Amino acid sequence: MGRTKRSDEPPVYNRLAALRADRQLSRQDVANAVGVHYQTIGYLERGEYRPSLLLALRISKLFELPVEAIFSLEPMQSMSEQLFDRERNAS
Amino acid sequence: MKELDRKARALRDRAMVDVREKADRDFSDTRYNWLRTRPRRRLLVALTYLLVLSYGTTNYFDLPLATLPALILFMACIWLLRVSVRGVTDYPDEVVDERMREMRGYTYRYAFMGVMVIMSGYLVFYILNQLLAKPGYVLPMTADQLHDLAFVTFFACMALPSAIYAWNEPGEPEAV
Repeated sequence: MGRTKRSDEPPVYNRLAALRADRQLSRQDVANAVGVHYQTIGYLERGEYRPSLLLALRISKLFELPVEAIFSLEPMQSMSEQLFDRERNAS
Repeated sequence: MKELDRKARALRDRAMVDVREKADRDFSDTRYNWLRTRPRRRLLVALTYLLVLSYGTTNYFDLPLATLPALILFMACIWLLRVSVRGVTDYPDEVVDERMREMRGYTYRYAFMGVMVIMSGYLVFYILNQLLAKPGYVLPMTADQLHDLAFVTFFACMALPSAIYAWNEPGEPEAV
């Protein structure tokens, strides 16, 4: 199996910015809590960096959410859309 | 022997604390954020290599009054390049995070290839120059000019890791 170039790898989508805004945390706060530089959090939010498993697990622990609620290989619905869909399906 | 080991470890730990403090200062420094955008970093890389070429050209034509400013400006550019990437290329693994380590791995891979290409070019040029050093031939370069070319090669290699990192690093996000 051939190796994939970095630029050909699929993007990893995340809702880090929304979660951070929801919890009123700065990039610096998140960075300090998970042990990286604040730039790395910014690049993650912009989709310019794919996190290691360790970093993804640390972030999920910080927000007390499962990893798949924060990171996905598919584009993520916004939280309000998801909530609206759930309410519509329930009714 | 154990005492010596303990002292060596204490010295290394103290040095590491200093490096960590310096890295913390560099990584949280906001004074040069105006320089840390992708277009400005790329402009700086282009300027650095333009100055390497200027240094070589002015030396070749024996213009010391132009060579010295080119050299001083080149040194200033090297410093600015390092500042623009927060010195990430020089810090030990213990003080940089996973993204910086990944970027650095990529940078050093290409820097090594770049250094090999530049050095090979110089070597080929040097050997050709020596082969032509026979009576009746006019040498393409004198010994002094070859010496100057060695400096140009050295300067080009010296700037390479920071230049590659600066070229590829996207613009910095804010801390808030």
